Amino acid sequence: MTKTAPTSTTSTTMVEYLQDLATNSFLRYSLIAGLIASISFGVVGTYVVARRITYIAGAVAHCALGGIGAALYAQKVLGWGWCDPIYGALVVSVGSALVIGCVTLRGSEREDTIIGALWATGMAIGFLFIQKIPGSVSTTTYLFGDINIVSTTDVWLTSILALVVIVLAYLYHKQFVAISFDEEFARVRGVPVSLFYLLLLCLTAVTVVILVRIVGIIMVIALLTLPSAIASRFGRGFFQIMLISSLLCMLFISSGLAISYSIETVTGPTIILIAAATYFISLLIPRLREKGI
Amino acid sequence: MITFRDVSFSYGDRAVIQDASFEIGKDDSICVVGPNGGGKTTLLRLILGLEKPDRGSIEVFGLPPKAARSRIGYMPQYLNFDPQFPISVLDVALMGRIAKSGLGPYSKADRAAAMGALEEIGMADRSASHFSGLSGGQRQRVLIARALACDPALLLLDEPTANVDQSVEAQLLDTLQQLSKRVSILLVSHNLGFVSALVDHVLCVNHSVHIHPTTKMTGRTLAELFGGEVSIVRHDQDCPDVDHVHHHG
Repeated sequence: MTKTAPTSTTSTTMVEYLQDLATNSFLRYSLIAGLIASISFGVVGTYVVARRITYIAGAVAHCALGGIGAALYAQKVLGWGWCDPIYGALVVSVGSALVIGCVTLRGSEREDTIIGALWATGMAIGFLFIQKIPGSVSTTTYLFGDINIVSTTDVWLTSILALVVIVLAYLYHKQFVAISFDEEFARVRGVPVSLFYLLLLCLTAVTVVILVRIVGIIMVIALLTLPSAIASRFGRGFFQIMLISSLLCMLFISSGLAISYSIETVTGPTIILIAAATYFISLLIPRLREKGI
Repeated sequence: MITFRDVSFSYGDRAVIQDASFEIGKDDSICVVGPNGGGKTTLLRLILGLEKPDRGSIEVFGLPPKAARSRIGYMPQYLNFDPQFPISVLDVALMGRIAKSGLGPYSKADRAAAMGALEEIGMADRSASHFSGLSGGQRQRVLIARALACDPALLLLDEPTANVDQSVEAQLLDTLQQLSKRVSILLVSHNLGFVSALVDHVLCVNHSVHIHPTTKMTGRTLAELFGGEVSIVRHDQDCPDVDHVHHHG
């Protein structure tokens, strides 16, 4: 991961990581933002897995690069200092989520085609903008995550999002479940299906963008879905799955941050490999139980 | 209860319902029959306001269909659900209460109503079970409970006995007969003979729509409806001409 955050360029032990947490603000912000974002990931990820919109979430995450590129260009070339890349990512991701949602609801175009088109277009726009920025801007930072760009603003944004997600999930949980289980029945019972579907997509888009700085665009989708997929194998009902999923997400992020800091690897892939390994082990557990192991 | 006046509906260029005019009385229980693709499910969707007619008007309980939905319990023909969807039997039944429930979690009254509906169809003891762990017949029962949970005046059931074996079909019929004492039922069925003891009118749908008293249904009526050879197997019941109908055409 971070090649600039640690004070030493040599490999760091886990004990040193814990000691550095107290002094290194980047490390601290990353851990705090990651732990708080885990709540949003656990809740929204459970809906994403239940509604089977993982690919939409993937497209939305990759589209974020278009917004990040445009915002960086505005910041560095046009001199718009206020234009943080996270704002560009939010606008483009929410916009792409709404486009995919509207196309899906109208049924006017194949869902997979529009997902693929937006997925690639967003990334292409992002790369072109970044290419036109004088000096060196590393796309790796946004593709795979980098805790050196996590700030107090991110911690605040993550906290606000977590609060919004919890409030919306409390108020509209039954509507989200109803449209995910049986859309037509929900419509008959007077649920504004399109509105809640679009709301769910927007929530997914915002959740994905918030963690892009830590785990990166390419990896974030795995962190949204793998904890929920693991939790659904052991939890009964939405509440249990959301709880287990959030706790797993916290475990993956905190252990991933610590390991990547200690062995000097990129944060995003390290976190995702831990999550993926846990997922594959969870697949084996029922088979091992069957064999009495 | 339901009034169609010169209703026509088409999907693109394909006419599905043409100039349908009929009236169903308040206490009538109806079976909708007709060949596949004849417009049975579309008729239900029009009654529910899920589709708008191209021409004509529809009233349900004297209201436009959308406004009358709160008084209708609906069970769809197919439920393409994810077997891993984390939902219990009670959660499914509770969905029937969603329109009556406010913001936030379901209330105690909603839970009591959903449990009451499950009790009525004999599934209360499985309320905590995972929905996907049930047999096909049990799932059909839970979906009927979900339709009942909103305390409807009319139950719309689209092929409630589809994909279940004969013994389950008989149990479901028994349940529906009990329910028909307090709520009007309109159901689509491929097996008119089977439900003939339950309903008092038959709605024959094959693009056009005609309503007949069950006792007046004849082999000729059905042959015209299905557009081919129809076998009627008589079993000594109240309905003299119709019991089991086999379509060969």
